[in-house]
Amino acid sequence: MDNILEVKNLKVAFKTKNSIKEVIKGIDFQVKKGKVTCIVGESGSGKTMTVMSIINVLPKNAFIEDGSIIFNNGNISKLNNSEMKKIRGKKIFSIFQNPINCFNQSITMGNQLYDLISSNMDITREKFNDKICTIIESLNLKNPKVILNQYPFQLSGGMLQRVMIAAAIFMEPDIIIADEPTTALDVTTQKEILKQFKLIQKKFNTTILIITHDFGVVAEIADYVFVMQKGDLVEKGNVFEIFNNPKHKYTISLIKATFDRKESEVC
Amino acid sequence: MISRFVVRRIIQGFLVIFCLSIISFAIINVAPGDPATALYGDLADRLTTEERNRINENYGADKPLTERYIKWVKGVARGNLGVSYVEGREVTTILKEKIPNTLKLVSWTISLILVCSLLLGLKAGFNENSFWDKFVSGMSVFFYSIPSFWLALIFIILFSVGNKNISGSGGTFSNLKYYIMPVSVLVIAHAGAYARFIQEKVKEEVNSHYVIAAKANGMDDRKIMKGIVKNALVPFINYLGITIPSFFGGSVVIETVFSWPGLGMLNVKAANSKDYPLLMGAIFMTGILVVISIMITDILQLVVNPSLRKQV
Amino acid sequence: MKKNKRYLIWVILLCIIVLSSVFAPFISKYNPVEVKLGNVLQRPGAGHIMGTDAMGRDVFSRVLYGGRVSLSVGFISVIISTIIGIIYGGISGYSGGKIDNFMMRILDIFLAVPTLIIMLALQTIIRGGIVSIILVIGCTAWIPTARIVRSQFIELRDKNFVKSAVVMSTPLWKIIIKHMLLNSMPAIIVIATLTCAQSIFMEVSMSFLGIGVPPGTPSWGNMLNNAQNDIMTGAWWVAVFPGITIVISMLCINFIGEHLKKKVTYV
Repeated sequence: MDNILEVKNLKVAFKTKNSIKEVIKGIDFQVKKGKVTCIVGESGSGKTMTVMSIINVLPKNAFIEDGSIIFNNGNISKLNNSEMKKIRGKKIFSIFQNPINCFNQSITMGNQLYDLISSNMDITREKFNDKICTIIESLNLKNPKVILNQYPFQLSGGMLQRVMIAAAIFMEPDIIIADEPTTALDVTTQKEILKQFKLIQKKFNTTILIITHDFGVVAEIADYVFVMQKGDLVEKGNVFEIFNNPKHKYTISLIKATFDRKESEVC
Repeated sequence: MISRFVVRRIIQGFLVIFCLSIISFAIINVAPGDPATALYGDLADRLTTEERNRINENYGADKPLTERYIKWVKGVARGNLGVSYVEGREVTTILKEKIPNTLKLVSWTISLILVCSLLLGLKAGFNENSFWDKFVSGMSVFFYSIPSFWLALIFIILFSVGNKNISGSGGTFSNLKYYIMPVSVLVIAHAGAYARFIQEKVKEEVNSHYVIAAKANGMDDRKIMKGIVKNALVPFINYLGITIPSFFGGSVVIETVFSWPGLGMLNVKAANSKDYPLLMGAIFMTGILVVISIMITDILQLVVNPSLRKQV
Repeated sequence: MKKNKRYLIWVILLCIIVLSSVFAPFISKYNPVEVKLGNVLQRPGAGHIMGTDAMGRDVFSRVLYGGRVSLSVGFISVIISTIIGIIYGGISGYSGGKIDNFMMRILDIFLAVPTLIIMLALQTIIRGGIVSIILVIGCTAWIPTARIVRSQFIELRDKNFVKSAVVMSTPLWKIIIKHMLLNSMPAIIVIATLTCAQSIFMEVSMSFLGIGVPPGTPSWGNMLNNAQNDIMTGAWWVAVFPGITIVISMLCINFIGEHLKKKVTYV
């Protein structure tokens, strides 16, 4: 079981008007192939920045100061845009928080998805329609043809997220990165979505990298856990080790916050 | 959905025209001066009271306000806008002569403005922080600070005085030459503002989340750009609709400078000579043209972005 | 840093223009209205730095005195239109619901009316002086202000600090002034600045058409009106100098407005 992704001494910084602010301060981690890895931490800890630097879609004034990102035994941190394009979408697919913000509100779902998929592979519209409808149905969404004709604002958050996952399944990437995929959804939909991720991992042996601030999600599906705090990777390990024997203070406080709620502390 | 929208717009259009007619009718009839004064100017003082009354009665100026308004409205419904005090001809005839000139001017102007502003604005919006971006931002403010009629005067100074061939006065209007000056003045003075508008909208869209998400998953740049343009065009067309009234207002000034025999100049002439039926007719027609153009832009918005039909 | 100071140039330029107009009698020794038919249409040169016009009047002093008229019309009508706009927009925004809807429909109707034409009609009757022009411009330029105030009030009305003030039975006038108006001030200042440029523009346009300030009073628009015939004989200075002054004043106000806009939107 080897590492599909290795990050070494990654340093990411922001250029502000007068200075440079480091947001990721030199982190190392390895992502095991075919497993579900969760990156946990509170807001601002640098989780999103980490995955954005993996596929190099950092915001304008952010840049990779130092470090290397090795994917499938090749360093991708220094690749230019057109070379990165071969990886984005095809080998690494990203699913973001707030599905309503991830789509263009004035284009139908079918057209947008076809634009996305056809940018990554050659496929005719009919073949695309057939395959995507099958996938959407397998995700427990009825009437896929109708869904494809809707505009994003006509669909619920859960449906949109599932359509995104359908696109991910379609592409059959090596890694699926999901940034807080369930935060904007209600609890029952959350369970559904997480179940889907688990299924994808089992069926296609896809590596799944999930970012979350919720240890409940970790408990539900993680195989490995990385804990980040203020730009540092403070603890990493296999999920059972983390839960049974958390070493870092921060990890302990995170776990406690989610699970250790005694009745006397309520109200 | 679509028909409800169009119906609502038509009703609004009628309301606008109705208000316009009331406002202009009220204003004009509160004004000093009667048909006799309009016809004879200063010589009117020499008319005897009988002659004055006869003239005024002829033009129906002695009847009460509301009656005159209703008579006018009935006339309009039949296509009769009254008779000009000064020229004695039917207002509708005069209008029919002048309106096409204004329409030609306005349509050329707007078409060129659209082409220029879209070219400049889109290029600037997609290349943030590039030379084009800064150029459009700065230059547009510069150009819309220039009053178009002053620019017209400068053009006349530079190009007309001395060689009379491009001065835009009189003559036939099928000749393209006459359009060059007034249209270029208007385009230079206004294209900047529109370019800036679409540039800002595009920049907003480029920074929105769905663009980042699409880029992250390898969508082709061209396809992303198409989506952005679609989203940016709608407020742009909306903005065009809102500023159309100012085009018709501005035509008043430009037509005066270039002696362009159109609707705008008619408004000024009628106002200065207190030719009230003509003024009313001119204001009314301007209002109708404005309303029609606004409706066209509304329909255009729907065409560009059909999703609007389903929103709200 | 340097970029931010750029607007100072415009502020300084504007101050120069305003102050020169205010102190016109001290700067120019020529009478702006006295007709001197012996001095007609002299080129710019010693004695008359901007030449003389068709009635022998010194163009430079007419520009300075004209500034008094054009600028004061602009500034005062902005005050009037801003007040009307705040009241209209405030009522519409704070009331919300049907009242808001109704008021906005009326606004849409006003928008479709080409203001220049209505002013044309108004001015043919009310052949008043400067005061009537100020009133006419003030009463037509309030619409953009009303829109901005309304959207600000709508946004603020839902904010928690306003809601809590209401719950605490704060008197209405206090809520509106202290909470809503004060917080809308940045946006109001921006739109007032831009309206100022518009008003000056309106005055100049109307005077140019002959329906603005009475023909005796020097104003930039008046000067351009008179210049129409003069330039045909080659007397370019009669049109160029007042025009350049107009352009510079508008540039100053517009650039200052742009700078203020940037300061406000980042917040």
